[in-house]
Amino acid sequence: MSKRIMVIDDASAIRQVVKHVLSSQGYDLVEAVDGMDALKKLDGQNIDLFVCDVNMPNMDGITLLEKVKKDDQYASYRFAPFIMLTTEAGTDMKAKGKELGAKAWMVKPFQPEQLIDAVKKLLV
Amino acid sequence: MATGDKFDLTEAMGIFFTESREMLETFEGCLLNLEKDFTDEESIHALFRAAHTIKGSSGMFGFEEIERFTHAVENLLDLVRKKELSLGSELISILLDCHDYISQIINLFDGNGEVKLPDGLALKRDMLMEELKKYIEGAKAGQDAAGEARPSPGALEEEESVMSADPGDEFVASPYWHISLRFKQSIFVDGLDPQSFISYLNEIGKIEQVMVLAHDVTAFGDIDPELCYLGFEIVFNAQTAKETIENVFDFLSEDCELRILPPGSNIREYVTLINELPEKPMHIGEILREIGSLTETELRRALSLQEEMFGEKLSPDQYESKKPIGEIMVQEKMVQRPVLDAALEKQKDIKKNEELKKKSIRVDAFKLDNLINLIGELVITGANVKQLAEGSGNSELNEAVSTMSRLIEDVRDSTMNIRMVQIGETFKRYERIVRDLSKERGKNIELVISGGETELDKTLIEKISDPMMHLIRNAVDHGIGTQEERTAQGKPAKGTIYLNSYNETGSIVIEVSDDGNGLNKRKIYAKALEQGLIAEGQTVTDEELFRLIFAPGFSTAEKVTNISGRGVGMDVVKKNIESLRGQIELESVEGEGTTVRIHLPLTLAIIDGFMVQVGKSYYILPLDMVVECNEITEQEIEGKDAGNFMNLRGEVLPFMSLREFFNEESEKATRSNIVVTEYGRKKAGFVVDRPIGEFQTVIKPMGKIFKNLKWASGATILGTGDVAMILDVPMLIQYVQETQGAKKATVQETV
Amino acid sequence: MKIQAKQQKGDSGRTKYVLSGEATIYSAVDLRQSLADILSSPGDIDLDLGGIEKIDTAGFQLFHLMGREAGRLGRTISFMNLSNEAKRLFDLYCEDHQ
Repeated sequence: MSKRIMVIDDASAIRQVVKHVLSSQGYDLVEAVDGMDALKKLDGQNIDLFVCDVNMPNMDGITLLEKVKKDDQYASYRFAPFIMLTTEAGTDMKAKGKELGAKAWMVKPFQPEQLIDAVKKLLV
Repeated sequence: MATGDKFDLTEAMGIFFTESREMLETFEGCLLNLEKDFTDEESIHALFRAAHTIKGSSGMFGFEEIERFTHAVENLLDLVRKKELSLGSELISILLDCHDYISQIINLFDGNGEVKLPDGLALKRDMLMEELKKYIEGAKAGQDAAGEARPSPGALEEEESVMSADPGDEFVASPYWHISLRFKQSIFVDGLDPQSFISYLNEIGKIEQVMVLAHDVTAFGDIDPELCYLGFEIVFNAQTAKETIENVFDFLSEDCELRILPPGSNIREYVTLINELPEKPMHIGEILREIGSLTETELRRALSLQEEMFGEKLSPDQYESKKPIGEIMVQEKMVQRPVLDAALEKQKDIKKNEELKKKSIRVDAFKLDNLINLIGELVITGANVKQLAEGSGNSELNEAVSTMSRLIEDVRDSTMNIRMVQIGETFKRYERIVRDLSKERGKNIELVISGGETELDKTLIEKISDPMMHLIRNAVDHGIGTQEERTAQGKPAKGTIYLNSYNETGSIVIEVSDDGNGLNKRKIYAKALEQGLIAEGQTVTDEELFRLIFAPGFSTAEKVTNISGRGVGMDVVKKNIESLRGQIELESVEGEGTTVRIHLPLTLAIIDGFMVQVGKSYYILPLDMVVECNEITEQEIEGKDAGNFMNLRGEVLPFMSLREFFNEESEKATRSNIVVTEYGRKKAGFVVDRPIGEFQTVIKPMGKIFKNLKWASGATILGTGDVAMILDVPMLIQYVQETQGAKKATVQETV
Repeated sequence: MKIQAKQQKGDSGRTKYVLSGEATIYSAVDLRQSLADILSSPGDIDLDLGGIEKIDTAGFQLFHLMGREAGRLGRTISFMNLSNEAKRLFDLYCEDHQ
């Protein structure tokens, strides 16, 4: 059964890149355009990993992270790893994100290989 | 056993051989340095490291013969390193013999695997081992006499190798990495699964053994199932840098205690590991033994060292208690004793050096060639696109194309740059040859190297190796006389051979000079006469005379020695150099010395060209040989039937018309241009109809149709589909100089 | 399906349990309870892991610690008939199974 990854980013170009790169490795990809959209799309489906932008309209990545990790409604995703995408090293965001359990951070622009590498380290 | 990708040993083994040869080069270089200065610390350390590395890796591939021998060498060098044994000429000669022996068996095993040594080699090995043993025992005896020998624990005495010196500097036999992992308890909750990181290891190597440990666990009923209590001890088989392994765990950096010990680590590093881990030393020691990172003997040694190193700082109950991870830092601070510091510092230095070296990666030369070929195609296609775009008159397209061209140029340069290697490494190889040859010939010769940082295409370096060797042999054998001869001539007894390299317009120059006898012009003249190369009474310039040296079968050596006289003459050297689009020239002053100068093109495959038009044909001249391009009037070309020379800002420049040279029959252009070229310190001008401009091109080998065009070094296809010749400028310059020069000579005589 | 344990009749005095479902961090609390229950009954144990569809290190940890606990109590546990998923992880960690 192939692993399913949700990519959340308001920039569709980034979503396309992530989708393209990870699909090529045999992963199933689900897209969401922001935090709200992501929560709506979770809806009981199996997600093994999140690739999530930090800065997004409606609901940012950190808030999404916090909801998934803490809200009982999303308990079945609580222990899924997050790869956070940032453009700059917003240290307070990063510190909070890490505290919430997001350990893998990638700065855009990243190389496709870096992303594949990160996913491989987080998913078996 | 672990599952996962099988680690392909054949590739790694190729790396082993390449690396070992590099190490041997270092080894030899250090010995040659040390011959000049017996106490050069840096060379001594590098020498030891080279032996150590070869020993370590050979073990990993099961080359016991190499491992056993290099181990003995390493032991001896360890004594040297610790100043318990001093180097001298005799020992250096023995070590050079060891180098030769190791090179031989490495060559023997490469491709064959470990095979039984032929009797000759086995004999050589036994003799060398005997010598090494003599030195080691001598040093030990001296030490014992001085009462400085360390007491070693009785239990271990028998099992230790006879040659092992200070037991504290023992290196473990395990050819694998040891990775020790302890996680923060919260990692499962954070969505991190050690499983994925550990199986990722199989992407860069092979997991040989894993031992799972649990700490801080009392009863099953008391555990929190969402916390992580596990630790992992992993035996990992990989040819990689420590950094690569560390990178696997980069996301865990804050959530994991990661300890990595490289293959063949010092046993003291294991002692430190045992001490730092939260489990009881006995327990963790047993585990290390069980998974094979330590042998039984090494474990016993480690535990006794553990007491020695840490024992007095640990009260018995601390010793027995399980330390929580958080206390490890405290523990680390406790153990900092000056002695330990020094030992660890030393290890760190060695590792730092090794890691610096590992910043580079090895690439199969075939892959690189393939890339270069593709870039070549890309360059041609790019140039074609550019031409088409220019013809289309679409300015947006043109802009995009010019950006693309710039990028292609950058890609091309970076790619070509990958192949550029400093020539210094190659130069160093000749030190040994000069040393051995001069000893054999009873001469005293020093090799002085300069310009080693000059970069040259790797393929070129490989190809000039033989011609260079020949030139150096010549210099030793014929160039420099014996000490007696030199003293009689009022020269210093010690002769010098200089190897020098530098960049010059469009080429790289390599010089081999000596301060020896110089060429004997009379002898050359007589020999040339005898071989019918010149006529009786003919006057020849020095340059012409020296050029005869390169004629096939020409040799003035009176006696054939075992050094030269291998059937390879200077004509072969010249042919080799010319096949690389290079040139060779020779200068010599009798009684003072000889310089052979080799000019080589910067690269082989791709050139920046300068395109010109003559009639309906296009020609490309290598841009780096083009000095300038000027309009030229009919008057300047005409009326010079006695010889084509023009005055270029006070300099006499021979030139010729490409229109005439290539018998171009189309109508003459009203205006002409002259392209001034330079190669190997010689200049010539070529008259063309129209300069078109810079053009990037790939030298394609000439097809059958063009085989007879000896003035072209290659051809390329233009966007229009036309074929453009790449002119062999060095050859043309020589032709112009000779033909126009001859005319000049005639003119002068008739005047 | 989170996790289920069923008791079956085992050979020669051993008690056999068949586990099925997920052995992951998501089911860790339930899994620990099931394994603790199994441990509370006396005798040697065969644990059939053929029905384990998903397993991670958190799940593995519970099996590993259970084995240790049994050893401490002087009893043996055999992990047997591992599902592909479980076998892959046990093999990666060089953990014994039948």
